[in-house]
Amino acid sequence: MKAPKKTLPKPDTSPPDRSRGGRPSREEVERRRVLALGVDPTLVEPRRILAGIAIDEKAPATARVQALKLLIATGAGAPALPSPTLVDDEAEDGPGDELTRRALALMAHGRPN
Amino acid sequence: MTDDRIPIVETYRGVGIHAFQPRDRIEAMVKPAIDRVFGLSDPAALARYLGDPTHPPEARLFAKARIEALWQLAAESRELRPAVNIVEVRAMAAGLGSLHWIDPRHYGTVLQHSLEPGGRELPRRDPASAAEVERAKAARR
Repeated sequence: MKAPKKTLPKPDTSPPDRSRGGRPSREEVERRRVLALGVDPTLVEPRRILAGIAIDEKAPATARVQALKLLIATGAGAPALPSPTLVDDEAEDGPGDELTRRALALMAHGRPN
Repeated sequence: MTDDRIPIVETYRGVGIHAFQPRDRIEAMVKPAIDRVFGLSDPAALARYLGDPTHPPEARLFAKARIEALWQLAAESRELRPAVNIVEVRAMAAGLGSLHWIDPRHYGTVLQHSLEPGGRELPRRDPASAAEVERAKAARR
């Protein structure tokens, strides 16, 4: 005698219905958090926050360095190396490329050869 | 601790020009030499320039600084380092900016290797400048 064939129910592949509730998405959580704080995201000044991290002595060193790198990259911070051309009388005739700037900084701050 | 650097009389395009040489030489030889090094970016060409003791010390020091800068920039961007021996480069520039090791008779340092027999003669310092060097060295002692 042949046993009756059992068929497993097919898994539900339809997109979840958010209107039914459940766990909110990450974006939704962020949005609610911003709303709860009463902060307008358009008024957030990222460079101020980065500067705050950079000067916070209690912040982890890696976070401070990362913040400084971003500030330098955006042109908000001080240059990585002081340029000797700042005190050069012929600054307008001075270097233009990174290689030359670096070389002159090495000459200005290096030990005598 | 006293400063061992050779005094700088003026700055040309960011490069310090050493004392103890006449104005004519600065205008006719040193500044054009610095201009020439500004145009060099190839590490091998810069090393060749640095290794030639007939070139002005200021331009040779600038050539050395450009090689060091190339090296640093390559290291920072994790690229292949320039194909020059950086230790040898530093050795070739040894004494070029030092008042202790300045050569009173020639433009350069007493540490520089002499040219082979029959080769070009090293540029001689004029007697007045040579006397100034001797006085500065004596005052430093």
